Amino acid sequence: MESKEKILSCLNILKRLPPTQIQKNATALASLIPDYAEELYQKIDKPLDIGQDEKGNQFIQSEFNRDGDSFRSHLTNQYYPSIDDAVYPSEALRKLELKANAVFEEYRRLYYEGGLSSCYFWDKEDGGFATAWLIRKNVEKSKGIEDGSWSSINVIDIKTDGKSKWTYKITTSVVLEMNIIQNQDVGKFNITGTLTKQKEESYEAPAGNKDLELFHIMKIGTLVEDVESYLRSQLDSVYFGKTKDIVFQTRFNEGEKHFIQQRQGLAGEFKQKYG
Amino acid sequence: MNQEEGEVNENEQYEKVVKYIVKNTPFGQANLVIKDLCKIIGNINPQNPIMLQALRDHNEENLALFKGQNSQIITSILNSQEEFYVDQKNNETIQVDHEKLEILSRSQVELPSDPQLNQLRDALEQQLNLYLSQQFNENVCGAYVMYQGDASDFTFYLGITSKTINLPNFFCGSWISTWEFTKTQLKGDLKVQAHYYEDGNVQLKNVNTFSEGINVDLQAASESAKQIVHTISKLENKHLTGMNNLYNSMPEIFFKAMRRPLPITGTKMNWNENVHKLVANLKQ
Repeated sequence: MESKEKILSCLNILKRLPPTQIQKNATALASLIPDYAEELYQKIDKPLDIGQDEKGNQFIQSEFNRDGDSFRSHLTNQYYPSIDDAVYPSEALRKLELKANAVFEEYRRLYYEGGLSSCYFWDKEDGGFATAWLIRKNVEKSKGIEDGSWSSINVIDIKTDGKSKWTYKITTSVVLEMNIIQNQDVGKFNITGTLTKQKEESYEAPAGNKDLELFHIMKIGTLVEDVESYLRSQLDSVYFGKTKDIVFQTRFNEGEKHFIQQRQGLAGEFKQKYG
Repeated sequence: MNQEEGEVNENEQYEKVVKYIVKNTPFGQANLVIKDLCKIIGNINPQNPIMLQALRDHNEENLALFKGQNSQIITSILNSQEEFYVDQKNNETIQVDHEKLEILSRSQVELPSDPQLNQLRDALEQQLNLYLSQQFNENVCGAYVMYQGDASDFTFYLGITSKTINLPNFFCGSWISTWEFTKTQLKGDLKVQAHYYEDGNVQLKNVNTFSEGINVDLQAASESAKQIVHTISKLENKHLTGMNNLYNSMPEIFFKAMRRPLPITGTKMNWNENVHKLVANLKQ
């Protein structure tokens, strides 16, 4: 019980601190409660890291392909650095994993025009399975941007009723950061953000479970596309814009104070009357 | 290691983490963060010296505004003393409550002062207050003017602070600028922060520095004050315009470079076709 409350307090604090610093901040907090560190790390969404195999091929490292200090590559199905007694997906899931990666790469190419993607699958005790579809994209120095990064973490839980109905529950988090090239107009400017959304859908599998693997990939892929698109548009149009509004009501633009306060006054009146 | 040493090390670790976390907390949320830190550490409350010190550093760094009856003071490293803050203008030392942001008590003291510099300070204060009333929300902003030296060799220190704190609606903002000038040179640092955390967490951190040549004439204090505050207001306006332009270009230069709203074809991915094609390729 105690551990739950302490972890909740850690998560409360982390949501008040810059999202791309979450690993550093979580490590600092975990040093206060070393016994629960592992539990805390499993509950946070952090920017995705990139690892590589012996040939230099890259794959994404995350909580979902980690065992101890090693990470499994979806390319080789091996852990780096190698370890004994590690957990691997069942043969059937590994086959699905290879197919999902091929399709997800095409999705990444269409939407991200670069970056790196990895899908990982694992078996669940309830007979279902789960998968993480991950993308890491860096924006190189260009057009006023110093650097930027995007991590998208899609985790999907898949369950069946034992007949033909399949339920897909997706939890997607996006973590991003942007730094602009320092200049006299705005100085140094850093903006970081994270946003999470969940969605659940159920579908009837095709008769006789024909092409069930492809069916799963299609359903999961469509969900990933929908939720990622939603989060991207929310971050762009709502969340980043909100930080601008906050600045412009902390320090008004020349000659605008009167209008902004008038508008706020009206909004307040409406809220009192109808809110 | 004996038990006592173990406790000392543990305390040092607590102190290090508390300091770091509270320092990085957006202004307006420090009390909440400290409450949670107490729950995590256990056996400790917000009145613990480690917590009080971290909160005090946080308030000074953010130029927190403390209110009393008909008076207010801004805390900064400039006027910070062990037990109190110095109000140079009113010749007072002031004790404050860092949790409630309230003035507890004031006492009269005798501070060195220079009549000519006093004149410039009063004129600057008047100009700054006018500036604040035009471009800031009066309820949550303030400014200070302090100085060092005498008429032949002086440095003035100005600070402007403005906060937007709206925890029920999950947002906070802070605008802080500190300025320093001599007879011929004005230098400034600006720090802007915004935090919105309803169902997510987005934070802006923005800093800028300024430097301008000026000419201070102590014989014409009110003219000089006008010129200096005008320069400050001009630089801050220019910064805000730069921010406005940057925000307007963000969807194009940043978001599009990250992830397109739609593939270049203008339509969503055709999963059916792609899945069949790509998986067939895989088998070969």
